[in-house]
Amino acid sequence: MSDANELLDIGEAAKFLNVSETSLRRWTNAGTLPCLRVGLRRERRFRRGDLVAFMVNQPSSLSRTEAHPAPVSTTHAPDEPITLTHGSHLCALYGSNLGRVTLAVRFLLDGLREGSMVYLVSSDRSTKHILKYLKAKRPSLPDDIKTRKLLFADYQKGPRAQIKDFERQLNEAADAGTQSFRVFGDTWEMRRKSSADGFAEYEAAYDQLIARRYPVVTICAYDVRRFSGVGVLDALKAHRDTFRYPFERALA
Amino acid sequence: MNTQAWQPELMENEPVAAIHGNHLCGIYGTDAGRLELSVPFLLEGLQKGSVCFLVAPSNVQGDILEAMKQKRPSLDSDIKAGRFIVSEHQKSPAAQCSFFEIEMKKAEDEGVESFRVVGDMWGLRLLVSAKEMVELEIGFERLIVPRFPVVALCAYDARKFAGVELLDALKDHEDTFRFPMGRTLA
Repeated sequence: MSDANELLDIGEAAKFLNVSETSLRRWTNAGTLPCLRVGLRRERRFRRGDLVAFMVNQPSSLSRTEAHPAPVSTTHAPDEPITLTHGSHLCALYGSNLGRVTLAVRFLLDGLREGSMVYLVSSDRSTKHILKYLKAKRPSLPDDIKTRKLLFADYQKGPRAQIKDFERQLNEAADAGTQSFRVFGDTWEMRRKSSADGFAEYEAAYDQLIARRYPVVTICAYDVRRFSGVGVLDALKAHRDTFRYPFERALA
Repeated sequence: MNTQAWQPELMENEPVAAIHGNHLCGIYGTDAGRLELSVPFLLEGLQKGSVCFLVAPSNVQGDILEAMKQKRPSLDSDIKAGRFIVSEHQKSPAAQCSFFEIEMKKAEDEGVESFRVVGDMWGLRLLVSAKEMVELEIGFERLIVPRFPVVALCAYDARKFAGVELLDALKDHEDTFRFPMGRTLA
């Protein structure tokens, strides 16, 4: 048997890629990584050649967080939309810049495709990064911006100003006939501009005044490199809707 | 325009441990939160006749046992009879997995049909590197979960673990998202 065709079991494959077996199961279930099923128990086997090809498309050094399911390139991001009800206020966690992009692009793209107005709130730098990948998937993006189907901005100076900004933007769009919205907020940028208590008040106010009042679906994205463990726990607790959806949509 | 939200098996009215093979991650931010996660889970297991394991540093064991005894005065006899096994973490992932294998095999041979495990993960983190933590999770997932009718709750102290480590923990415990949020955060 040639080296490329050598079959590895899931443990050997995990070791080879330096990832968890859970990640391998996830990637094979998603169709991102090919595998064979052998025997009565249909155990997974991986061709070495397929693993190498998969590895080539990944960053050269995978940290444990980066080794988990967020695809490296958004051209590999699963396109299958999931249905989200208005009023859903989700928390997503990411541990890399590409993880942030993966979460944002998938969510915003689904929104644009379904005809929602989408609002990206993030630092200039992150916004540019996200828009670059978004445009690769949606060449008509400049038109979306021109027609205000896609808005983007940095966070306002404080929580109250930010809530007012959301109200203004959504009211204007609703008056113009928009019937659904999506908001993606990269929360560290708000956290930086407020105290811990102020940030908690902002999340509570957003939930009450925006998420539950407008036909909007919201993702609050948390950079776990910035937030402490307690900050992450508080984020999860403040977004009860998160566990209603596949976890791949919430973690990157 | 929007249809019903996709919903996994939320098990709203079922105990967390309704499905063997679940390997869950719980996160707590206070000592009381740790008790909230672990005590009902273990008590329910004992009530159902499962052999339960508590793997934690001795000071944490003390708090949990005291809380459990208030609800189950017979706890000492559970420990004496081998229905409730309390220990600190073994010194390596391999040793820890081996410990579970030996104890669970022995119990199965005596007719035990189900198991529950609570592991307070900071206790392990004090002994091993972050990489070895991963090895234990993989080892447990690969060697223990498929072989034994077990439900495990790996409890992470948010005050001790960094945000990145909690994200890794959640990614390693995808079963966690099958349950209502309130079951695994405290």
